[in-house]
Amino acid sequence: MKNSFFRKIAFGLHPDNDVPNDPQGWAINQVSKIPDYTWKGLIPNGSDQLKNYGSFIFNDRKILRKKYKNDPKQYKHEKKISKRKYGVDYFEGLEIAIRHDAALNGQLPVCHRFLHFWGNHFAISKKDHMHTFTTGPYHRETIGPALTGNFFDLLKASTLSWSMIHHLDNSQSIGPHSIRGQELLQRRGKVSTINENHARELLELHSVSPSCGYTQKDVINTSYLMTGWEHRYSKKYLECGPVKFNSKNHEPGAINILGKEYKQTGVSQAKMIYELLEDLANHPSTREFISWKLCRHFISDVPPKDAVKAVIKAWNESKGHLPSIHQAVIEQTWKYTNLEKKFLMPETWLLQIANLCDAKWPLSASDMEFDFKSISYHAEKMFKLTKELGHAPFRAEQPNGFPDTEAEWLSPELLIRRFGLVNIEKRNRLKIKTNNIKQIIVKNFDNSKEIFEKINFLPNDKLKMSLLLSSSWMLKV
Amino acid sequence: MNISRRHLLIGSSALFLLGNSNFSLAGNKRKKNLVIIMLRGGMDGLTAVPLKDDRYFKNSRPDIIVDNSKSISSDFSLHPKLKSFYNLWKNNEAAVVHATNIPYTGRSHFDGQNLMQSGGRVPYEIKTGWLGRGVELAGLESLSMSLPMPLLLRGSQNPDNYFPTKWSLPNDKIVNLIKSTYDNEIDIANTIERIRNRPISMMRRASGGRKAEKLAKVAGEQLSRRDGPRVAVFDVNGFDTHSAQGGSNGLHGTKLVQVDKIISNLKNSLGESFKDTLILTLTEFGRTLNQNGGNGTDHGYGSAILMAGGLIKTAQVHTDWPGLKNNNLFEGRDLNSTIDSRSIYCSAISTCFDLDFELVKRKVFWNEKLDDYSSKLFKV
Repeated sequence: MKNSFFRKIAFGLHPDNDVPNDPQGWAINQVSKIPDYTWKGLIPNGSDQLKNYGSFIFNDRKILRKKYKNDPKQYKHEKKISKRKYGVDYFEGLEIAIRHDAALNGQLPVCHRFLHFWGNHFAISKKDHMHTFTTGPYHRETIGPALTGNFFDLLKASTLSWSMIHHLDNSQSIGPHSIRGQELLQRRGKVSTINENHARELLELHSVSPSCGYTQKDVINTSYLMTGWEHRYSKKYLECGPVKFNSKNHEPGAINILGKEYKQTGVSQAKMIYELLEDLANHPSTREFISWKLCRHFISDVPPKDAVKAVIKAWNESKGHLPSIHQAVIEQTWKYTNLEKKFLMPETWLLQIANLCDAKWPLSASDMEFDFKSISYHAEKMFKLTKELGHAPFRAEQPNGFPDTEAEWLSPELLIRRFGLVNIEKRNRLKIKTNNIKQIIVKNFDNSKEIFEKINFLPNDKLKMSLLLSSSWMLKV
Repeated sequence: MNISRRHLLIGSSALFLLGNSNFSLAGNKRKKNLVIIMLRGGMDGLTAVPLKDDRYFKNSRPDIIVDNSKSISSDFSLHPKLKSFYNLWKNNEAAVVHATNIPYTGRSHFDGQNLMQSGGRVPYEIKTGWLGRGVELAGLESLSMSLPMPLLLRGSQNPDNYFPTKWSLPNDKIVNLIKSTYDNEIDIANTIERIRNRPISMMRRASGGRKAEKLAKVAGEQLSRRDGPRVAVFDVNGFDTHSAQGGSNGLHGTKLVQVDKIISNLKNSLGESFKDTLILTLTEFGRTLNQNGGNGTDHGYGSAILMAGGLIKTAQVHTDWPGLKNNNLFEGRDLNSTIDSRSIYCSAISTCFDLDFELVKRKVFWNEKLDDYSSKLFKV
């Protein structure tokens, strides 16, 4: 029996779901599809949110700051009103609700596990107000739809998205020999510079990884090649203008990266980056790095070498076709179910609890309605609970995303929160149902006998459930 | 063990502690504490420690001049909201390093806050913090008071952490039962055991609220224990005053009140141990000399470090003052930095952890060109 597989590859089985007859087929069928959304309330659109974001910062910087420059108290008050009006303290909670609803109530939970993985691979860390306005739509609209294509498509979509360009400051790069660079030199005597952030993370985190042996020169040259890819600075929305290639900022000339010369040919300057991204996507180091990372995410912190090899093979044979790669990951996860165990990230664990115990999580679309005037306590709850677990999904601390190993998630305070959240005898924050604990165990665990031996002597179902949800069987699968 | 009185802590500020359970303090060796207060957003050194009579200064920011500041030297005064700091100053227990910053001139919060913690020169290149590396070098065991470990403290082994929550643990019998399911998971089992063995003092605190200044009381008590932590880190947001920065009563002044309270609460709760403690501020950059259109200031370069504690040698404004004439300014707009602030932090680690300055410089700061200020600034 391998019922643990459903927790290893997805979020376990809901009391209303039957155990699929063909678990691998059940999972594989999902990954050829684009992650679905079932949320019945507002699902913000990415380009609207970018404008919303722009309007909020415009109002703050260009109007409120000037109007109340001598009145800090009134400025604070007006800013609070503005925050409500633009939903600054609302959208993050809403986005978490949409994300969790899709994972639990849609038809494609496996897809959503992969989406969570890739969203963290191409992480947007907490910067400015991105976690409020744009990171949710970025996961949903940029990452999600790319998961049925090739890795190159995904890399391209993420790299050239407003979110990543803004997150890693590519708009700040001006080639010193570019048209604008020369203008600045003549007018102000200032040599233009590049910001290496985006280029470095593209190589280090998103594609080849340091194991490929790139040099600082490669990083700098990648920055030069990427010059010109920036978000437009808009009068109305400030830095929230759409991403566009600005040839005036692009550093001219041939550029050598990882031993290959990238040539400029007139109008195709903008397209140089496609060539680079394609090479990076197809680089053996990228295959090895990301195959290993996928296995580490689903199988165990130190994944078996043959599992990684199998994923690399699928990557090779399919030329980076993501559904094929995901299929290999699913097959290897099946193979190693109950042999290799993975300590679940807090968000995954939370979603599994919600699913297994039919908890009231996420809050409903009607709970999440908002008038853009008052405080949305429900949105606050969605956000605060995940934050308290150390895993508010749109607030990674660093561009390398949330950690993905037991050692990094294991600290007294993080464990206290896990045990505290499911201490339902004291307070049942998630409205966890305890009436069919026996069925939950049989359906989702492969060691039910051992579990029953441990919990059966406890006096009530609440305690039994507390112990189950805090146990090694639940946290590590 | 009852830990149900732990309270939630989230918000704009946080506190981190580092412990020393395996650090030998046998014999008469003094236990010396190092406290870092991170000031996020870019603290304006010229507001905290303004110039007294400088026409360039006065002409550059006519609407945000700090009135009623306290004179602390022939050239400098102190923001009036830094009341406790001023009292410590009179007692030779506070000092300032001015026109200093990390060697970062990019003016991005995102990069600057990374570099002020990593101590490096390239954003995101270094994945550990200078304090974490210092703690590791000294062989201290770490305890951070945060959920995620701040970058500043990363790099030390087996970090313990403390960050109050209102979610209460089940009773110890149940916790022990939970632990019994981890018999084959030694690291997790050990962590649970660590929770069960916590001193009761760490379990019932944090009822004073979420703010860093409240947590300073807890920190001081822990630091004053002989077997307690050696390092505490506070994290304070909100120094990014692009608007309504104000002089004596503006937004920057409000933030300085918070810093002042952290320091005074630390002094009170540290008691006798205050004499063996060094408290230093840390920020990503200073702010522009000129006020902007919103009566605030924008991202700049040079700032100041506020320092307090019994390990301060004498009350002084230590600086190699660059001047505020247009050609003295960094890129014609910012107070310049003439002292690499990492020299100060390197000296502080050397002083508090009883480590050779050259060793710290080599192991923590990659042997960069840093100067030893230990004997100038601290009691060594």
